[in-house]
Amino acid sequence: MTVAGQLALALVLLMTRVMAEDSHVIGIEQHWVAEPPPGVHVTAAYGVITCRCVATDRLVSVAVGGAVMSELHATTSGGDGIVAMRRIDDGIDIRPGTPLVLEPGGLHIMIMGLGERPRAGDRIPATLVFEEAGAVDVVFPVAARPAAGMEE
Amino acid sequence: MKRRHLVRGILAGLLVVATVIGAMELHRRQVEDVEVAIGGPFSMLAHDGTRVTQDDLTGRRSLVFFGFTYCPDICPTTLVQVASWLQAMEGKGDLIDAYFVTVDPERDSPERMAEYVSYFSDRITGLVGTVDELRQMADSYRLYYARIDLEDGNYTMDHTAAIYLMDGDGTFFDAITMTASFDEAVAKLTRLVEDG
Repeated sequence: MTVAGQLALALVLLMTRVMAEDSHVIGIEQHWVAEPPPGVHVTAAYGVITCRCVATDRLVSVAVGGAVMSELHATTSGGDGIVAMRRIDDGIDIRPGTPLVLEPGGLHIMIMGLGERPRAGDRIPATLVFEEAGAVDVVFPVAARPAAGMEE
Repeated sequence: MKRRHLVRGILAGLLVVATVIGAMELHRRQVEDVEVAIGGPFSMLAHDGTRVTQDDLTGRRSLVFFGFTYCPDICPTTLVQVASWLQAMEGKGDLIDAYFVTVDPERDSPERMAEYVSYFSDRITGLVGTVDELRQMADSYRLYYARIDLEDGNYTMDHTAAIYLMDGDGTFFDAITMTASFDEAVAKLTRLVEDG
């Protein structure tokens, strides 16, 4: 192979790598941690997670700074009006082009055992771990729950 | 004979329609029976240390709902919603008492409930009962609740999430479900004040 050919090949390989990295990007927006009422050491984090990717990725775990425990949970309600909250053990799939919505009354990150009570305006660092994308660091702003509830 | 087939077909069709209508009517009656049966005797400790019973609902309009303070998602969401409805009812909502009843008396003391509910609104009263008192109220209100143990030694509670509206006689008037919009909820509360 000529020098020019080798250079061209190297360039192609480099570009492929850059494109591959660039083609799997996790984004999170509208993310927040609910300010817990006084005396309460449990709360939840919410947000909209997107994957600019070709293949489906999976959110497998979450670590929230300063918390004893943080887990993926789902609040579900049946037609009988009974609500239940369950841990999601297998992670949550994120398909290309379909945002994963964590919201009050649905999927959320349950946070337990925050040492000091977070207040609106505080910022809490967290790491979201994805099967493909690996660890993604996110800073969650703390906010009081909006008055209109789920419609917000 | 084609004609006989047609008649049979029509008869079979009518039978199906009649069965469906009958089943729907039966279901409707059952649902109504359940709704009528919600409410009845209870005696609980309010977060300020006073006792609240069924008699306290008389002459008032009440909003009764259930949850627990260790609940990270749905309970605080509901409390914020109820607080916003009560605020929207200001002026015509003076008749309304709102009661947040804990299904977790093991962890929720009156003091803890006081701190918790007052974070959301000064219009909401937290109610705590003994295990037996909660059982009695659950029977009266057709409430389902169950302790679900978690692997780490903590536990969560499953429970009925509907918000019951009780009229001036302390009997069931209507319910607001989790999925109700702000406007629907305020409309129901307005009807409760005017007609309840």
